[in-house]
Amino acid sequence: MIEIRNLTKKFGASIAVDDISLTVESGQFFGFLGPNGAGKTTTIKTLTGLYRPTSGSCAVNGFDVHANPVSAKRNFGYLPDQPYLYDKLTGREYMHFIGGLFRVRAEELHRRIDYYSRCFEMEGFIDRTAEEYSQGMRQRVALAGALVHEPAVLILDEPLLGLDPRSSWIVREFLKEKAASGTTIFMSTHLLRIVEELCTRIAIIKHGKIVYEDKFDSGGAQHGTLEKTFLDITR
Amino acid sequence: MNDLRTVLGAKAAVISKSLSDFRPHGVIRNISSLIIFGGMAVGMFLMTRNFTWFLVSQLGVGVETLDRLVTVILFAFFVSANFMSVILSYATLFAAREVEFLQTLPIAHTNLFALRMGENVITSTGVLLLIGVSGVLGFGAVFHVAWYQYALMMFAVMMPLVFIAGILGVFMLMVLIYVASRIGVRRMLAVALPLYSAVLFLSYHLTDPVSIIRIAVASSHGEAPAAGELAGPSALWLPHEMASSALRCIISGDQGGAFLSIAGLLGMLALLMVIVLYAGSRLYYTTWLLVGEFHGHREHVRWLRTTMWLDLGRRWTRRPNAEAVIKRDLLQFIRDPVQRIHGVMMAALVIITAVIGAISILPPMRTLPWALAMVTILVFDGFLVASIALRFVFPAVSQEGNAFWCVRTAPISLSRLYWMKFVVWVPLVLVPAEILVWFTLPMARAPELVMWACAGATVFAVIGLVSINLGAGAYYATQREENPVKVAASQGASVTFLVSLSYIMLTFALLVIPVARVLAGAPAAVAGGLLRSAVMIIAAISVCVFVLANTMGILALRKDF
Repeated sequence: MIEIRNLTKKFGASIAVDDISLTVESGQFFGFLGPNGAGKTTTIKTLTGLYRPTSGSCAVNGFDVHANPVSAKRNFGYLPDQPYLYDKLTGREYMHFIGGLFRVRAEELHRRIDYYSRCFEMEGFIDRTAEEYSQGMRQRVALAGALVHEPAVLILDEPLLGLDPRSSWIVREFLKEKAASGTTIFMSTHLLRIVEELCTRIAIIKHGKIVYEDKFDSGGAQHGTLEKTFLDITR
Repeated sequence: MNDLRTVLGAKAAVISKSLSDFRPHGVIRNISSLIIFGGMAVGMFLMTRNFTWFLVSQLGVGVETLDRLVTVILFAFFVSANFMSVILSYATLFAAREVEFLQTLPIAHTNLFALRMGENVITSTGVLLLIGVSGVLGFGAVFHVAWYQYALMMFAVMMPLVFIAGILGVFMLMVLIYVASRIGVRRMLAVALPLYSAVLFLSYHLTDPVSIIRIAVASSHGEAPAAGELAGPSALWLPHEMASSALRCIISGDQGGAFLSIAGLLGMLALLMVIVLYAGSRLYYTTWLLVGEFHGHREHVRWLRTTMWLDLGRRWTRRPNAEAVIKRDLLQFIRDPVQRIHGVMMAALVIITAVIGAISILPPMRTLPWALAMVTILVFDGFLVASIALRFVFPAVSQEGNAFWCVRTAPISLSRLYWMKFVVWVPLVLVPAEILVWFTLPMARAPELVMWACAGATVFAVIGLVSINLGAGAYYATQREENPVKVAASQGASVTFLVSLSYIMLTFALLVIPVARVLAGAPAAVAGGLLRSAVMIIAAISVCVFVLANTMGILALRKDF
């Protein structure tokens, strides 16, 4: 469960996020939408502890991200919009590194790395260093890294950016399965069709404020309706 | 030339914008930098003036002997500037993203080379130039030289000397890369390192600082140098010899001699620039491409074999998160060829200094100069260790790089992350520092009691030094800059280096009086007590520095990513 209360983030005089409040219930697949520069990434970075809020608070599974960061971070996995990796580490080493940070038991970690390696079709490159990766390879390794500790909450910023059609399909199917198994997913994206396909609830942010919220009953909106709504609201 | 003007214009705009940053944070940074740079310049001026006055007025050292002493100092200065330039050239001319971008634009390679070479020379030698110019002005002040002679000392002696060292550094690296592409990196290093060491030893032999100190000591006892002892430089064509000769002529009013030496120095600079620009027009693009290919070379199989002991998949401790961070830092370090090569170069420099220390013995002196000689050696060792700390410890937080997001969003406290870096770097800096102390202090015939006191003081000094570099490195961290060499050459790094040098000089200066009392033959109990007190004061200062610098570092780590 994610709770954002009266969150404001300012950079000097400019207000990136303006007093927003949101609650994402356990098991929800939440789509966070908005035009460029609306405050999506700032909200996500504050939610994950990369930015300090100017005021307000964020909590994951009851733990305040800024007052109790270590406990809060144990509960979520995060994939940023630009998933930089360590150039000199291989994909497998990177996942071992993340597993070590999250204190996943060694044997369990080996098993999960093998599983995600197969799942995201990474066997061909997982033992090569990240400096040789394409954008799509980085995206898959980073996503697998966000999953190795089996988090209850997944926070994804543009998870399908740079993926080829097959990789995109693999990730989408995987996210559907995760949502079905009760994982809470908070996803920011510009791909409205994907939101229609996957999300059970959405919010649109514009100029740092939530301007629209909606719930879909059975795993997605009617095809094409969201685009019209989005264009009307963000005009 | 139009392309050169356009790029220079853009650079000037960037610099002027960063200087006219009027946000509170930017203003504080700029003012504090100004205070530190200004303070260092004034401090250097006063120190050189007083030291020169002490040599001339108190010890009665003559102009000829002073000239030889200045030559030795300028030689060390020249080697430092050259070494800094070689280290930074790789980042500025070959590995910078900006060069990659500029190479895609219609800019002539010669112009691009000249541009980057200029930037490299200014960045790598800026701090040394500040120190050198302040020092030479302090030197001139003792002899009451005219205003235009100060200008000559600054612009016609020190600047050309430093620029020659810097330009030579760029040229050396370019040639080394070219040679490495022909015979391989390992073979090139196997040839270049002994060759560089041999040149240093030869120059040391030609300059012969121990004899010069012996003559200076004899002068202080009223003995004139023996015939031929001050026969002058054996290699007048060396730039530091020409600079020293120019300074000697200026202070003794020999206008003709000064003109000749300055003309020689400027002529050498001009000739070197022509040769290096020509070489750059022929070799720069080729070597830049070679570096790109070298980076693309896939050597991960060998890496994996050689770094099995750092396997992230194996657990050696019960603290997997701490173990993961330390292993990652070591793997990133070992697998980066620039880090490896610079590590080898720094180790070579420490070994060369230790060997020179081990094979040289200073002549017997009176108590105070003897104590001063020991502390000067200690400060010189500190200068070398501060360079190592700046190059490797200062960028440690910046090296988290763009991938810092994955640690920041992981359940590990940032202060723990910081202390892990501290714990790793303290022994890695302490080992060369202690090697230097134990090998170079015997050069000044240091008694065992003094050796132990200096070794103890060094432990605290290193803790302070690592704290300053790690803390300031976190404060000035630029995670967007992936090249550690560029981080270690930033404005923040220069400020940190000056703070480190001041800290080293301040702490070791506390040893002068107690060491002098020991050398004067004070009873063992009294001497031991004095040295203990001095080390305790150094420890107290280091603890204050430790608390201040590390608190600043930990707080800085928490800023927005």
